[in-house]
Amino acid sequence: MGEAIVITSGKGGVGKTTTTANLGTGLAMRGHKVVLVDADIGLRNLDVVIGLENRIVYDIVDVVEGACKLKNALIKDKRTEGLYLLPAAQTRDKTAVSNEQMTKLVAELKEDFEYVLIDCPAGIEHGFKNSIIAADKAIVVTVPEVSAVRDADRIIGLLLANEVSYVKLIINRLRKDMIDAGNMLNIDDTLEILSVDLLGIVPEDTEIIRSSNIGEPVVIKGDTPSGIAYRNIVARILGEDVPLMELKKEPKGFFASIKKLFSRK
Amino acid sequence: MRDIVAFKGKQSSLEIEIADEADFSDALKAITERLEAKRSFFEGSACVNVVGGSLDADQKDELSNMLKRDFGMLCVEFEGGIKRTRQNLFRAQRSEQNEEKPAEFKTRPVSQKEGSAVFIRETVRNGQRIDYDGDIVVCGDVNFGGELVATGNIAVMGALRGKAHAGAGGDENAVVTAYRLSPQQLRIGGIIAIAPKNAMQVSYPEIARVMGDKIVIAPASRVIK
Repeated sequence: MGEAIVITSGKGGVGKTTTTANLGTGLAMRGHKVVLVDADIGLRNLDVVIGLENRIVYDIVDVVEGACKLKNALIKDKRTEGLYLLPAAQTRDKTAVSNEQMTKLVAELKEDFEYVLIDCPAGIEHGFKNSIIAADKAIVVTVPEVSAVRDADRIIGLLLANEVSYVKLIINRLRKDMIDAGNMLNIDDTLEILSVDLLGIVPEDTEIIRSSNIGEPVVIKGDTPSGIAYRNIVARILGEDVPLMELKKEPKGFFASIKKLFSRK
Repeated sequence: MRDIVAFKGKQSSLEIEIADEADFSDALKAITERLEAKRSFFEGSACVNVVGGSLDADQKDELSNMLKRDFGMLCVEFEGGIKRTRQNLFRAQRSEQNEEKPAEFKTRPVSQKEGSAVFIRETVRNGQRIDYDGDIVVCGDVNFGGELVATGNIAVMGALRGKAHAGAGGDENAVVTAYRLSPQQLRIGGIIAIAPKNAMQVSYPEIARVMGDKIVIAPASRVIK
C-alpha cells in the first residue's frame, strides 16, 4: 500500500508541475514505483514537462467514466524505470471528476504504486478539493514573494481543515543575490509565517525552462543547482537526513577572486 | 412619500428610524428587505438603535429577535427618539446582562463582555476568520489575511499580522494585545486604524486601546491598571 502526496501551492506559476515531475522522476530513479496524476484537467502540462505528451491515448476522465481500464490510461516513462503518468483530460474541465471518483481512483493506484504524486491545479476551487481529498500528505510549493507566501498560508489552512496534517514546504526559485540585497523574502521569515517544516529549497535556475521545453526533468542529469536540490528533496522524502544545500553567490571583483583562489581546498 | 423606514449610520451603530405612522408589519418587511440587500455588510458587527415607530413591548421583542436571529445583530436598542450618549448605551447593555443587580461601575474601564472567552489553539491563517461573542485568545499567530472579530477583547500569544476587531458590538473599552502587534488593520468599537507604511518593529508585547477618538498602541507593561 503506497502513499498519496499532493503537490499544491494556491498561486499559479510557482512550479507545482515542475516539482511533481522532478520528485516523481527522482523517486523512480531511486528504485520506487511511482505514478504521477495530473489533476489539472483542462490545462494539463505535466505530460509536456515530462515529455510524454505524444503518447497520451486515454486520460483520467476516460478512466473515471469507464471508457477504459486504469492500466490502459497509464503511460510508462521509457527513460525511467518504474515511472508512470496518468494524464489529465484536455477537452474537459475540473468538474469532470467528482470527489468520490478521485478517492476511488487514488485508492486503486495506491495498491499498485509506492508513491502517488498528485499535481494540483492552482486555485482553491473544485480542482483543489478534488486533488487533496485522497491525499495522505501534502507538499506546498511557494516562491519567496509576498503574494505566493500568502496563498501558501491560505492553502496550508485549508489542508489542515481538510485533515491533511502532514504538510511540508518547498521554497522554489530562490535567488541568493536578491535575498542578500533585501529584495526577496528570506527563508526564516517565510518559515516563521507559514510555521511548517521545510522539505527543501530549489534555487532559481534557467536550466528548468530548457528542461521543461524538451520534456526532460533536471533531476535526471542532476548536474545543475536545481537538479541537485531536487535529488536532495527526494532523499528527504525517503527519510534520509540531507543538510540544506548551501546557496552560493558568485563573488565578484578582483579581491573576491583572489580570496576564492586561496580558499579552494 | 417618505420611506417608512430609514437607515442611518452612526459612529458605532446603525440607527433604524421607523416612521410613526407606519404599520408594524410593513415596517418589519421593509427592514428585512433593506438588510437582506446588504446582508454581508450588516451581519455580525452592528449594534442597532431603533427610533420611532411607537412600538409596544411585543413588537419590540419580535423586531429584536428577528434582527438578532436573522441578521446576527449583537445588540438591539430601542430609544423612542431620545438620543443617548454612547456611555449610556453601554450602561444599558451592561444592566441588561445582569438584570437582578444594577450595573456596578469600577474605576477602571472594563470591557462589557469580560468573562466569556474562546481559546484558539492554532495559527489563524490567511482566509480564516474567528467570530466570537466575548473575548478571543489565540495561542499562535494570526497571519496576513486572517481575521478576528470579538465583541470583547482580543489577545494573541504570538504575532498578530492580520486584522483584529475588538469590541465589535460597539464597546470602545475593549483592547487588543499581542506579543507582536503588527496588524494590517485594527478596529476597536467603531474606530479603525491602519498600519502605517513604515511601521516600527518592536519585539515586546503591546496593547492597543481607544483614547479619545483614536486607537493608541503602547507597550503592554507600561499600561496603567
